[in-house]
Amino acid sequence: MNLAKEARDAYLGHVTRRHFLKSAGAGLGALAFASLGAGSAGLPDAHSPRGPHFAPRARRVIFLHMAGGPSPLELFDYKPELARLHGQDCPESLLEGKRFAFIRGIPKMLGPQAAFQQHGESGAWISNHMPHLGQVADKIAFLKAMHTDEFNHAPAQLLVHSGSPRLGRPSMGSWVTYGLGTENENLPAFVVLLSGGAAPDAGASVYGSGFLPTVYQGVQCRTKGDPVLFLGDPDGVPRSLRRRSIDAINAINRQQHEEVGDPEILTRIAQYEMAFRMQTSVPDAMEIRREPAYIHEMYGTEPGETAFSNNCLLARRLVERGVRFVQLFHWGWDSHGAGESEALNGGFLERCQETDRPVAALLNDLEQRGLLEETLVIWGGEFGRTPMLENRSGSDNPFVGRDHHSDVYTMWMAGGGIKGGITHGETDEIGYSAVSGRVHVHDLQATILHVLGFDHERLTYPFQGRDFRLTDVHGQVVREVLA
Amino acid sequence: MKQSLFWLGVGLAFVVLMLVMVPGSGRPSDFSLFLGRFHPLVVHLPIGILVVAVLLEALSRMPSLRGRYDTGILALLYIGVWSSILAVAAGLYLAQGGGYAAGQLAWHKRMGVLVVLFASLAYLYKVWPGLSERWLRHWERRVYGIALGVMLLAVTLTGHFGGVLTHGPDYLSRYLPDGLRQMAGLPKKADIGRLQLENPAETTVYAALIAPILQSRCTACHGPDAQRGGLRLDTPDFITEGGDDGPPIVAGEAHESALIHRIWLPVSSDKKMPPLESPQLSIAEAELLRWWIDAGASFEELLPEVEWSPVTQTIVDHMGLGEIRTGIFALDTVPPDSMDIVQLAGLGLAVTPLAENEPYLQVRCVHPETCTDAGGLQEALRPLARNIAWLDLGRSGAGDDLVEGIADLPHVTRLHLQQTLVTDAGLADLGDLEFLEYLNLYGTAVTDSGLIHLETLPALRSIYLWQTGVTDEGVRRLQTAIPDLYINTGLSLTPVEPDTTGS
Repeated sequence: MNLAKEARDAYLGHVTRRHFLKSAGAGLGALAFASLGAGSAGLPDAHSPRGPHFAPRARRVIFLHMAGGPSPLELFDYKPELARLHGQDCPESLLEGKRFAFIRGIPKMLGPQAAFQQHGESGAWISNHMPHLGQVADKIAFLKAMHTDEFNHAPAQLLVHSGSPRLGRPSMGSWVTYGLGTENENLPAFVVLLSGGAAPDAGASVYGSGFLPTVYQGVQCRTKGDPVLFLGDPDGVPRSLRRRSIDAINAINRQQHEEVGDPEILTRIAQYEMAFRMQTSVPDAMEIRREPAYIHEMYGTEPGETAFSNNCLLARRLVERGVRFVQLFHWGWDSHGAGESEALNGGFLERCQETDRPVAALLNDLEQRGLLEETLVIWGGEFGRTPMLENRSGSDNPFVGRDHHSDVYTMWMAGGGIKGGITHGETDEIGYSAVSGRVHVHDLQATILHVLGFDHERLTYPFQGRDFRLTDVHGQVVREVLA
Repeated sequence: MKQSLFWLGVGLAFVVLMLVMVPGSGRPSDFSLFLGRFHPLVVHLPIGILVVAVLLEALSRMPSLRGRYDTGILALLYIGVWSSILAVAAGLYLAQGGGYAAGQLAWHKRMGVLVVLFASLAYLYKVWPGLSERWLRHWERRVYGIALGVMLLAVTLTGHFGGVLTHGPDYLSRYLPDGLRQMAGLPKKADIGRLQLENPAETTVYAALIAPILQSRCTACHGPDAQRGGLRLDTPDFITEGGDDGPPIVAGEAHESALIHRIWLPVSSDKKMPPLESPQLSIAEAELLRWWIDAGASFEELLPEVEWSPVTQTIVDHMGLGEIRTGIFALDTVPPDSMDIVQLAGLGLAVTPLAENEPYLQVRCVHPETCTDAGGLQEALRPLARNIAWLDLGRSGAGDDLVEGIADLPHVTRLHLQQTLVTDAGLADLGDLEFLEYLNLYGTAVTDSGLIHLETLPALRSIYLWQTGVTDEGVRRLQTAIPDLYINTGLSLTPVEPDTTGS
């Protein structure tokens, strides 16, 4: 036996299904995944889910990202004192050492552009812009003293979703599916739904898989036209022919993998198989027209359009079918006041109307199906907004708006493992700084992973010589919001 | 001789006088407490001196050295006797201040007095070697040796108990290597400060965390042996009853509780507890007491029921209480066999572990068409019966014949049967699932009569019944049977005033 052949045999010994099963005594997850990917046997370690460290409280996540940075001062952080200071110059002491994206010089204070009311038994303050959300206030845990390191959209969004403001890290959905695997081999474990007319500023990287195998990448689905682009068979190609061509391609790929051992080839094989199964499963999951009328009424959907309400309904349909992580982005919350579309008395109100009803409906609908206590729902943007008027041009402007603010903003969580009807964290009288209960983006990530059964410090992936994790070297679980 | 007897008498009178409490106050005089503080200084004289005397006597056994040290030994014994008397007197003054564990203190005192007695006996024999001949005949030669031996033993034991009183009982063994610790029946070094509870799930917070603090810091003076201020803190009844100043704790209000006030007083206050010279509460112990009182000072609440604060969570994590196993996790279940898992997965079910190092599985039916073969599925479930904790058959083709098999899965905690063909007949088999917490029946044909079978489920916490045949009456009945149960029969948004700000 020559040396090359011996080395090759030894290597194959490591990747055959039998050896894999034999050595998987502790890693039940590996087995389970092997069974899931029944068509593509013998996936190596990197493709098998880690399995939770402790019994999870939630099995799935729906992350409602309100891209642009919605203003807490017009939604959840009720500041009557700010109304009293409206129109006055901002004291210089508040500006010392601070950097803003647009505010220069001394801005004027801007009172809350909303009326507030307390809701539910918990007495949560919610503005009149979100009347439906008020009805579900007791399901929600508000985090009113969130803070982040970044005050521009792209890096701040990357920080929220990948734990780093720079490109290249896996997104939260990738980490979660890497950890938990899929519950439905016919659908992607991590689905992304966009609305609001613009993609996230940081691009597809906010749902990318970074250095994790690309099988964990978020798959974007559309509500208008083909749900997934380039998935349908070309004219004149029947499904049987498609099957045979995939089999042929995969056989070649497998041969290639045996020769070079690159795990990305296995990803490619898995993607071909997945794409083939998705040809039937995705249109079924994405077809919201089959929902009864009262459900459409509840969500306020617009079938056939690209709408946040459609995406909320889809999110429910997807988690119902075993999708692990559904990531929604709804652009348009960047209320600078420089024009009508991005003014607190313009586009902001439209965003509220577009999201209020479907978000409340999503929570109620998940609950009546018994899914809310197993599904973690997260709402929030990438940062907050200043209590000062931005007024970029300095001229008389019928539109008002606020600048980016990274020191404090509100997010909320509801559902699996989360205590409803509470508020954690408090801001000062004008909502400019946190007074107590500060929660950093990394703390939020640690909490999300905790609810899913992971110790965020142990969910790691080796890359370039060290173990990486979602929270990098930071993060502390916010126990106050845990049920 | 007369003169020395006179001074001896004066000395004894002084010693006794100093032990008398100041009339009226019931407290020792400051001056005797002051003298008591010299105990640590004086006490090391007899220890060293008497041990040297014994060593010299041992050296004298060598023929070449016989008799050479006699004068020195005599002088050492003389000084040893008097310094030990002084040490005992100072010790008695010190003990008046209180704050020492009664049992150990009593042994320390007894042994101290033994030192004085046997050191005196040895001295007397050394002065008058013929002393014992009159009474003891054959024993005369040995009395001196025995006296020295007992004295040495007493010195050792007195010193040991003194060390325990001052530094705490584990001072000596703190850095004993683990092998020796095990031989001595002590816990491993890594386990020091960690709770060793036989059955944490059935242990109260009071017994696990609070009583040990009171035991180590308070009950020496407020317990069975002494009741300063009429207060005992060694049992729930005594704690509730309180002492001369009333109850020490106000449940739910730590800031109103005398126990907390006393702990936090500055050391300059003579009301500070424990007193300055006694071992103090650690910050973690003080925080546990405060948290326990604020949480209602319950003597009955069990560890698994507790809602920890972030700080107390951190504390108990370090005490090894991080994880209290309840429900199925408290059971000794054999891990599943991987071949059985492969077989079950082969039927199109997603099988994943519930958590690492746990023998339990979550099982989900992936395809609606897979769970129709009840016989085959039951066959595959059987070897894993004790391992299945979460079973999700929602939206599958499962029917009553399959649910019958679920009754044989004793450890199921979460069961999804929504949008399946399950009927009332199927529910009849579920009444024995003692760990079942979650049951999803939405979109099935079950009715009120099916729910009756569920009334016996002891652990059930939530049930989903939207779009079923269940009526308000059935819900009411189930709620009465299981008061804690969350019953969901569907929700919808009620119309609200639209927001008109923009228009």
